[in-house]
Amino acid sequence: MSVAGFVAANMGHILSLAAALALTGLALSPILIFLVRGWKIKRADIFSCFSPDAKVLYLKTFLKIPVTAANAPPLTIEEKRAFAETTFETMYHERYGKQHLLWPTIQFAIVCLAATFLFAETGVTQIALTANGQVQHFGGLPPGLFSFLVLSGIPASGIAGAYLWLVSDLIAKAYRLNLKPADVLGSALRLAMAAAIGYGVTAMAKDSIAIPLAFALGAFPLDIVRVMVRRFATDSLGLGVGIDAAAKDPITKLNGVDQPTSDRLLDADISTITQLAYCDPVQLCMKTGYVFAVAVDLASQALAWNYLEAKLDLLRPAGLRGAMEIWDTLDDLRNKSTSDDGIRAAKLMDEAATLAGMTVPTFYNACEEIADDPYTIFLTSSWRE
Amino acid sequence: MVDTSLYPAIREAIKTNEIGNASPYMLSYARLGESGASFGIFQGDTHVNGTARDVLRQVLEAAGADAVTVGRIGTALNAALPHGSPLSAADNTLANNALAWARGHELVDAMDTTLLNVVLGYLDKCNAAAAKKGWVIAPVALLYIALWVNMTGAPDTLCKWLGGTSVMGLAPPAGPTVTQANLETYLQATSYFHAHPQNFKHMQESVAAGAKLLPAGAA
Repeated sequence: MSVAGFVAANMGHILSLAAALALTGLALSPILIFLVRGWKIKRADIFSCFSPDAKVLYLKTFLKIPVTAANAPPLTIEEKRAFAETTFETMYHERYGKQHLLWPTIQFAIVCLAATFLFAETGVTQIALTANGQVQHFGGLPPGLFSFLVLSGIPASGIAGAYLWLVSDLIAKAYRLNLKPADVLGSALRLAMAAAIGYGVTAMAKDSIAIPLAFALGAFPLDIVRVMVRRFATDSLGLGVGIDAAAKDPITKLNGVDQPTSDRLLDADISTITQLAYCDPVQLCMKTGYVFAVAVDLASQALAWNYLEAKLDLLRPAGLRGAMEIWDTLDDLRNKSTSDDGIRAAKLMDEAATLAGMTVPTFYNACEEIADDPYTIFLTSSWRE
Repeated sequence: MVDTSLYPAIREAIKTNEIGNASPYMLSYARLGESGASFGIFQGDTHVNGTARDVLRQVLEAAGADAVTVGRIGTALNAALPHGSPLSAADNTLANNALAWARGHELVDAMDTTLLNVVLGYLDKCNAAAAKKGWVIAPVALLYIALWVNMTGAPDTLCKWLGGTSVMGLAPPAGPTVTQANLETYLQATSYFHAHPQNFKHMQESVAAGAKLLPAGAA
């Protein structure tokens, strides 16, 4: 088929549309897989960690929902549990239901289809409409349907790079059960702005590396691009608004929290240990994608850190890892004074006070504050189920 | 080695601390946690202590109880007993009479002596720890230590303190004699007595009861 025949038969547009549909389908796959499989697994993880009594405590502690209304006759334990079951289920579906992914997914699909169509059109012109190694000039071709939307190198590279990173990121998040509506919406935004970002950032670079740079930039999420642009603006315009990238994230002082974990917590709007201590663990699970046990452990450590700070590192080898372990030890000491458990707890507390370099009354008081905190009581209750 | 002249005082202090004025030659029930039935000065527990179960079996057999009865009582008492005695009135009387007889006394005393030797071993460790600093532990202070180690087991933290190391934020004793006041300060600084201060008064009373049996000039 000649170039003119190929164009006249609309084969280029059909090919581009088919390619765009295929690429959009690929990009949507992880979202659909998460909706069908991942969401259910996530829900099962959360629900399996909550007994009816833990749900009662959760509603009271984090949502301030009293199980018995004021001036109402007191409910039986069974009635309280039934109320908590229903309310918890309703709350979960209202806050974290699948419906929250619907609109972002539609928006992402539209943006993805448009971006990949443009890219495919550009690709078709490069692949199909060449003659003797030269791209055909379209000035002589009929206008309208026969016109191709051809992007120049930088925006095309930007879109390709963004697509590659976004889809791989969506796949990873879906398999980590950590796909949030904000991720899908952010992906739509990133793809929609890929061409503009490519132009904007490569303007700072030499022409020879502009196209590969535009592609490579796609691998950076919006947050990083924002930092890069801010840093460039600050440096080149002498605004003096430095970005303190070297500042150590205090959350990384907790055991098991590395920089990627800290980044995920930051994504969930948690940047301090105090925020982590008093966060809603269900919300933390949903925002970070961590399993409930990890969320509970992080909150437990944070609660203890609020009082003991770096001394917690000294107590961990003795078994006092966080607020839940302190609660457990104190419970044995206070309520099982004549049993082996109570004596063991007393000796452990003595050892721990010595390790922390504190007197027993001071250490004991800190432990009491930690153990009697309503948030610790909730964590312990859900953990023991 | 702990001076043997201190043994009666140590024994009496432990007895008062464990059972007050009650007889060690009868079954008692703490009705707490995993506790079963117990007897002897050291209150050997039939649920958590295999030696106590063996001794009770020997006591019952020495009193002429048949194998079925011994098995029945042994099985009933080898359990946590939060509601007290699970025995029938007849079995209860049989067991208490067996413990109260002369042979019962012998077997229970032998069990107590074994357990006392464990306490004495811990006291030796404490004396040795203090001796490294050239210090000696006053007899009344030893009574406190006896009650403490009988309750908590190996005195690792206490030995560090007696050896001149600060523990629990508490400075070591000044020496050269580790006094009753030193031990009271140490014990009151522990988490156990911080959580249960009322138990310390009982310990003081038990030590006072034992101190009456200390040799003249040692109190």
